[in-house]
Amino acid sequence: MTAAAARPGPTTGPDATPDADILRVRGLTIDFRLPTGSLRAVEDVGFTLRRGACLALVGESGSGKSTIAQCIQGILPKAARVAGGAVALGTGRHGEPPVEITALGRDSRAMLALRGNRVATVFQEPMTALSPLHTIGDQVGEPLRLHQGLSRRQADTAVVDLLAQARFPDPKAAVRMYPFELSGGLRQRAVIAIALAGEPDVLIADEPTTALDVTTQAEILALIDLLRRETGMAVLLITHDLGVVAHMAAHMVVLHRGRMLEAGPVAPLFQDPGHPYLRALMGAVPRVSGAVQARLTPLRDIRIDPALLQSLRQGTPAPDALPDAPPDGPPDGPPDDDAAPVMLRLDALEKHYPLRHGGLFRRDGGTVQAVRGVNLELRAGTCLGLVGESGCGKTTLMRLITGALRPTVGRVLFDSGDGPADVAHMDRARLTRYRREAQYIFQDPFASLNPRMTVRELLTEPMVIHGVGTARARADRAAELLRIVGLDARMMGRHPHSFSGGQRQRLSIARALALGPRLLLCDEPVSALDVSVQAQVLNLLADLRTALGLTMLFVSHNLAVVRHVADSIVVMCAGRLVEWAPADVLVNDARHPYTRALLSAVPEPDPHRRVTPGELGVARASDPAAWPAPYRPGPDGRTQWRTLGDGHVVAVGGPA
Amino acid sequence: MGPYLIRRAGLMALTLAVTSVLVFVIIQLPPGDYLTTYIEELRAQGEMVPPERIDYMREQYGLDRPLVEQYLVWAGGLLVGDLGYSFEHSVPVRALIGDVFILTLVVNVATVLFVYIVAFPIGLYTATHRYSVGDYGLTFLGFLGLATPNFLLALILLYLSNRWFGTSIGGLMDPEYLDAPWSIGKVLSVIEHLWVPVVVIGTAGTAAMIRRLRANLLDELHRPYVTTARAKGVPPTRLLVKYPLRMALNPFVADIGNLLPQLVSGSVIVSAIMSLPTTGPLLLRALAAQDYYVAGAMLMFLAVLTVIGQFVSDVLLAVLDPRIRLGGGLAK
Repeated sequence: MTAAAARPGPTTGPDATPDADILRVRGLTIDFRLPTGSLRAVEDVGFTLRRGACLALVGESGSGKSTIAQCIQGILPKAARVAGGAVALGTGRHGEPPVEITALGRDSRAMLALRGNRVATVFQEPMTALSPLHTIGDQVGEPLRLHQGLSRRQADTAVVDLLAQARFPDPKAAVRMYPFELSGGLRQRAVIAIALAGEPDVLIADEPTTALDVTTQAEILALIDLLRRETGMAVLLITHDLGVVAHMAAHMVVLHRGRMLEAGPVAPLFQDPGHPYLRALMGAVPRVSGAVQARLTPLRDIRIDPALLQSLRQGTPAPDALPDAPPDGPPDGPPDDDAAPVMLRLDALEKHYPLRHGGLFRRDGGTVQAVRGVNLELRAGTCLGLVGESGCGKTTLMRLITGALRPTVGRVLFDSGDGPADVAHMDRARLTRYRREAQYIFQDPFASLNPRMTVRELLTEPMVIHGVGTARARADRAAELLRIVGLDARMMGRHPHSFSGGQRQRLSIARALALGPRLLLCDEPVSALDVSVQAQVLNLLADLRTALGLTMLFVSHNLAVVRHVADSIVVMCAGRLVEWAPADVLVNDARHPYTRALLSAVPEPDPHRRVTPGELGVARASDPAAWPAPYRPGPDGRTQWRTLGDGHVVAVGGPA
Repeated sequence: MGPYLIRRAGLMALTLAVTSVLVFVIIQLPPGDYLTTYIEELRAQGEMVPPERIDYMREQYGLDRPLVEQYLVWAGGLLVGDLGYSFEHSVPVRALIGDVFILTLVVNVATVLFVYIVAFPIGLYTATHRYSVGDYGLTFLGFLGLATPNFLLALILLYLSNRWFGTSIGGLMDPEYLDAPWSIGKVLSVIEHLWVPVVVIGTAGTAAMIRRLRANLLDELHRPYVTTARAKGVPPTRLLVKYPLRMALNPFVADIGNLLPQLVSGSVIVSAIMSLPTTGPLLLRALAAQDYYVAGAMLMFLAVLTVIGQFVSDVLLAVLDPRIRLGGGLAK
């Protein structure tokens, strides 16, 4: 197994001297001590990282990839023990002697000198990886003060250079800022600057972009790649995203449950994945290019029992029958299919928030227009994808639709067959019914399920609130819902913490189905999940939709994901809708500069289609003022739809 | 920061003004006034008081005037440092409780310091050595401290200090210094007596604080920013102090506001038992005798401490935590 990785093909490095390897991992085995006994997290893993090269460790959560990274960084948790093998770091760029990391004491002087200096890590969560109480300057300068003995003032000067290297727009100002004053992308740049401070020989990028928007991801990946070329450091990329691998790495190691399944250069492996696991992983990745697959192929598929669905449909406590929505019809109908009635109509919708600057010490007026002039229709039985970056207003829009927020201007009209009703002005009875008819699936499966409730309580609660059925009937229905989402009805007594992320999201789906809804509002339901699990949940949603004739609004920041579930896609940017078209049209014939930027930012799992950083210009594309005519909004900030035919519309400024 | 401080100071003044009204209303609430209580007491002893004398006294003390006027006179006096007159002791309140205020402050400041100095190292230790023998032992001691009634601890410690160190029972100084002017000997005597009440009053607070610090730190120890700092090569002790401990501090700073009045009022009973010359026993007595201005001055003293405590903790929080200083309304 290790032999394949020991000779990772022709080097791409400058010269293949005997010391061309900066990092050698040999037969690494790591055990965790648990109350229940010993757990082998990593077993006999070996690979080499060439100087200045990029190697990817690929695997799902629980594959041991982060444990390997922690071992190389020398920050294994106390419960972990290296049971075998070795990690050796070669001679450093500045002449540091070679060192065997696994032989060093946990917090020994030599280990401390290594961390953040010769080996540095970029972590996954830029929101929490920085201390909220210390300035960026303090945190970025810390390795300099520790390892190079700089004074605070010297470090501050050096920090400006580091931040500039990490492409901060205004490095001088950032030194005195706190992390919470920066966006996620900028925070990740700060984390990268910390890692750069020690001029490391090895940079470990541990899922560096998983928590970020697709567009920000593209920028951060481009930055890491650029820095690798500039400084000659080697990059060990830890990820579950094959798109990112194809984009960044020359070699890859595929891990599964702590073991190596496959290793070698990226291009041949992508072309001809040898191991069935890697092949399956490839099939699970949603793609932007090429024909849409009817179904993604997840690693572990959930098939819904048709009999169950039949019973669910019958058991649906529908207040009154939907007149002519095609429950069993093909869901791929184009959005301009006039046969289906409009279920949801957003009419010149706006939401403004009052702005308060600076909290305690300064107070200023002004408003933020989170949603501006949104006109949208959602036809019964279709799925509309809503795509945009974080902060574009998509969650505000969803909340307006649920009635949790009241629009500043405009109306949300919902029609379940008895005529359109304005959500903000429904009477009590109608609103209660609306809340049964429209259900929400949240992004974070860890935060959206009450950890103190059992599965039974979670699933029956909506029915209790709406007074549906007897206690017995509710329990039966909960069991049925569990089976429908592919979970075992015997899990009813468990609490959410005993489920994985994907299973929890299935619980959320089951809960949303409990009241037999017409409209399913999905707010980034898969963005917190691994690729393989993501495919599973997407398929489940698609199957349920077909079977139950659900209408869906599916929000995501990832066009590739939306493309697999939605009939039509609408793109949102800075509170506005900018382009709306059937899914295939939007992906293959995007007109709006922002849509194009979004498309180019999705890393495709294809090493021959790497996007170079220069092509992106994503940051500019999200600023409406930078859009070329005719897309630039008019002087009053307004845009309007221009029809291009085939249900394809694009927002333009001023009169068409 | 400037405008914030000014706004807070204004709010403090307003709070105190409202409190003074409340205090005045409350001490006036029981039926009758000091004179009725006084006459009752004299009658019980079989003495008769001539009605003219009563009227004269009532007029002299201003008790015949409308309540609003009485309040204004009292509140106006407070502003210029005139705390009023003690009916019972026939001396100005200030003369009566001047020393008591100082000694109360000494006891309480010492107690706060004691709580922090003891609680912090223990809290740190128990959090970083979770589930070790030391953790369990100290946790047990802490619960013991929480559960032991203060008065019991007071009696035990008084006995022990008398047996071992020959310290005189009760009081904050040896009897010979009681009415003597302040001198080095008197200060030393106070220090010698101080530790018993400080330990007694502080024990429960210390135990509670250890538990809270431990819980807070345990929350913080596994945060990603701690991992980031470890990956930078920050030495373990420095890391602990700079990151998680700093984060865990917030609740303590926020607690100062509650700590001061809690200690003051919590020490009332203990002071009575140990016959400490602090505000506690005096307040009890003044309330019982309807000695308005003594009681009023004491309650206002508590109010001032509370408000100042809150102010200090708010300002410290803003200084310590940039999120509060800069981010107040930016919660997404």
